[in-house]
Amino acid sequence: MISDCIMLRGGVWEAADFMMERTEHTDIDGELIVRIANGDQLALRSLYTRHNLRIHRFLTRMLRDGGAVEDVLAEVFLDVWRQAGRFEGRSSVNTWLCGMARNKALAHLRKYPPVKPTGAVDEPADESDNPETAVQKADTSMKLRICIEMLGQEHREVVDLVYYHDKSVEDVSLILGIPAATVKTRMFYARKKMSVLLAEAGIDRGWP
Amino acid sequence: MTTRNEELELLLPWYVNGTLDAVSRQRIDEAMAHDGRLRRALALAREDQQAVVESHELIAPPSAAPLDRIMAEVAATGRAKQHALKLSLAEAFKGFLVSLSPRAFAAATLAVALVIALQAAAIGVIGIKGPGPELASVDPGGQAENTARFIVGFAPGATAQEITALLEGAGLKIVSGPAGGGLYVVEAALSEATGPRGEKVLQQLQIKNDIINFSASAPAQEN
Repeated sequence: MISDCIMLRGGVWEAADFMMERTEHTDIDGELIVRIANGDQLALRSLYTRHNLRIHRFLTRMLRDGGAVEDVLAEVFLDVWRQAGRFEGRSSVNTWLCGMARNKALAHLRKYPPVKPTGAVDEPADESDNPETAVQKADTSMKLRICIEMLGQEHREVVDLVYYHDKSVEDVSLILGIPAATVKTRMFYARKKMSVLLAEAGIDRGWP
Repeated sequence: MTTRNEELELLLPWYVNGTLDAVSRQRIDEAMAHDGRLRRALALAREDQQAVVESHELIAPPSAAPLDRIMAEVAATGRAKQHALKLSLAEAFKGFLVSLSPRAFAAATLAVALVIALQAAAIGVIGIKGPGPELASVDPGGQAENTARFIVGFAPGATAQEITALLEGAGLKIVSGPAGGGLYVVEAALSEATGPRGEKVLQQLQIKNDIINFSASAPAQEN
């Protein structure tokens, strides 16, 4: 199977590399977890190096507080150190990490509720010196990013997991602890909400 | 759009991220061939994905602080674990001793004393060559050829009569003792009946656990 995102990234010849990369990542991560379970500190460092950026971004999107994000990030990997022996391999290591990160982030949010943002969609920044059509495109892209930021927590996390973390329906279901059917409908309503927010910003996507 | 295509539309985000199964992917490919709305929805999903990726890439990477904290805590945990292991071994041994009955405790004490005695004997055998100081618990006459020696402890309830009968029946004589822990060294002349190293004698002693509460081969001594 050649994924659409692979086609976007450059063509058929990248498909094999991409799939091989995913498989190798899974194997390497699994080996690292076994080594960590046996008390190998170097393996923990390697696992951190491989995943810290994505988990950090995942947490940043949830918590939006740099200091707290780094604290929770450290706690996630300390839990890996303590619980590596319990990893059963029913999901990828990254999915396991995302699940732990989410649980810790939610616990943090319960303890320190965020201040709700106010205001409407910002005006787009002027990215001049481009042809009008290009400006219009950049305009839409920026507005789209702002709309994504304005989504509620539930919608934003499913959008992030699918579009940035490349999680399958089943993986999202595991991470969020909801049925697969709910994952699909939640994603649909998140996208619909984005279209509504864009329409409010003056961009009609003609969908849904 | 048909109901079937509405169902497929729900799957477009996973079509875009490449995790959709082959069957669903094929169904979407086929539907898109004649459904312009589905094609438009797919284009928007790609646009959404691009925006989400861009949003994430604007986030700066973490500082060195989380990794420093992780490795510091892990190192500290490792040291604490080693300390806890030492404590737990000591506690386990203490618990083991407490759990023993007085009789078993006496036997365990005897076993420890035996280990010490064996080590002392081994040191004596290895370290003392020629004239020199003699171990107090060793027969000064030395061990005769074609004999085997055993270290034995007698059960507290055993009578002198039972002990004598056992030793005579097995062809044993006491050559030294009692040493620490009430242990004696006994000797038997080797024959076909005893086995080449007296192993049959040892078996005979071990069966009589109502009289002998400890028995083991003694290290051979040089004359």
